Amino acid sequence: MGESDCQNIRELLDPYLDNELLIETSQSVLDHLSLCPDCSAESERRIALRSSLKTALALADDSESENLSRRRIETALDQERRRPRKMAKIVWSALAASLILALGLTYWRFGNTSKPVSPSANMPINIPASPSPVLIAAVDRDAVENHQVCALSYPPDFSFDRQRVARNLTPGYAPLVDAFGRNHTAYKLIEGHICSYEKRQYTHLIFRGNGHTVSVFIERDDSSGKPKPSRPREIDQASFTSYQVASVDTGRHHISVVSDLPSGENLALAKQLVPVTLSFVQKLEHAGSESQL
Amino acid sequence: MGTNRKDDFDRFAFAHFRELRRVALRVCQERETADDLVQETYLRAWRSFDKFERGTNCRAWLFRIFFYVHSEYRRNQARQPLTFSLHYVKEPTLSAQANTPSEVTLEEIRLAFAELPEPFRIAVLLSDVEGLRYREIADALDIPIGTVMSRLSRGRQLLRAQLATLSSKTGESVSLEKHKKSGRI
Repeated sequence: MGESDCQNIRELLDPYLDNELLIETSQSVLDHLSLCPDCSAESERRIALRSSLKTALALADDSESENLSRRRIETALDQERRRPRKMAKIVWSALAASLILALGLTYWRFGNTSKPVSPSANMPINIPASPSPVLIAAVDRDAVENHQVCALSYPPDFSFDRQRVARNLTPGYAPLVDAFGRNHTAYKLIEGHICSYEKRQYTHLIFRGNGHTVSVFIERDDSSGKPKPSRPREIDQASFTSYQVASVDTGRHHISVVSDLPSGENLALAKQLVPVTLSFVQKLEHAGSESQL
Repeated sequence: MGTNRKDDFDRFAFAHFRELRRVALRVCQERETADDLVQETYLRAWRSFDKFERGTNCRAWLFRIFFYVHSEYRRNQARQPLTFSLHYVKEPTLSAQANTPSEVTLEEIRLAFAELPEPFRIAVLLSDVEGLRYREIADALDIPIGTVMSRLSRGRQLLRAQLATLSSKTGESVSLEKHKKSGRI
């Protein structure tokens, strides 16, 4: 048995042990090992080393952290499953775009016949008798999706911490917590922060009560680069999947109240929450003291 | 298929949770990061589960997503990228012919393994510890099968060379055969 035979066999030894050689090649390695004590011993050592490597890298029993990790992933997957799928988003975007186009054409053809309501923080807000329209604007749809992704991810026992909320909000918005107070009928404020979704940035307040989670979103609209004239202020409500979104637009801010409450209850709650928010936001607008939001 | 996406996902993909997390822990060497990357892997797997071809290897598909997520994480962390110079390994130290040292401790094996450059370490981990076939490793790492063979060959040779150096420095080594017989290895 020549030295070059042994060299060749040692090159093939690992693939042989991996069972990745062709049958004929494998047989020739086997034949060599049966005749060569040195290579046979080397083969045994390599097998032993692999076994040792498994032992050396064996992880300590961490079933507790494994279970935690498993539960965390299952929760994240559940949230992901509740999110509207990308295709659905595209369809909704297309429908919304069509609606906007149709409304624009109608407006252009027939003109605006409704009388604008002059803006005033103290003026009662006009609540429509029945929830309007079937199709939802992209801004409200994003608020609903952010509610699902963000607000619903908070654990049931999550508790309010004034300092944390004050830290999370921009300085201009921190006093909003006091403007609201902690309780609104059966709903308690549990969290306030700034969050982003689909390139939108929101001031987001989360309320909980009666097993429901309610989000109040405030989004500043700087798209024109200039302050926009205030538009008629109404609370519009629409449904998206199983959620209701009641919203009002000041021209510079869009305020939405999102929940899975029945339509009437969400609207009634919005009637309480929106005026407080609106009044606060208008003071900011007049004072010009807003920071980023 | 497709009647219940969630059930299929649990059956085909989530069934590999334990293996995936084990590999993640060994690759990341940090529990928190490993758990984050496994979570991201499963979220991405869920989003693209429609693209997974039933009947193909789901384990390799998940590992592929995981290693993609891992390399992204590495890039974001601005750590050293997953590339290295082959000159790192001096040719004379790499000999398939050299004998595997027979007197090594588990600690020496851990040290020698940790010293391997990452691409070699991952290839050896997937083959020798997790028992993946060459084809599965190629799919998981998205590299040609020839590259898998080359990385495995170099990784194992380097591991042996490193062990030979380490075991010659310590006098407390224990025979691999002895460990095996006593059931410790």
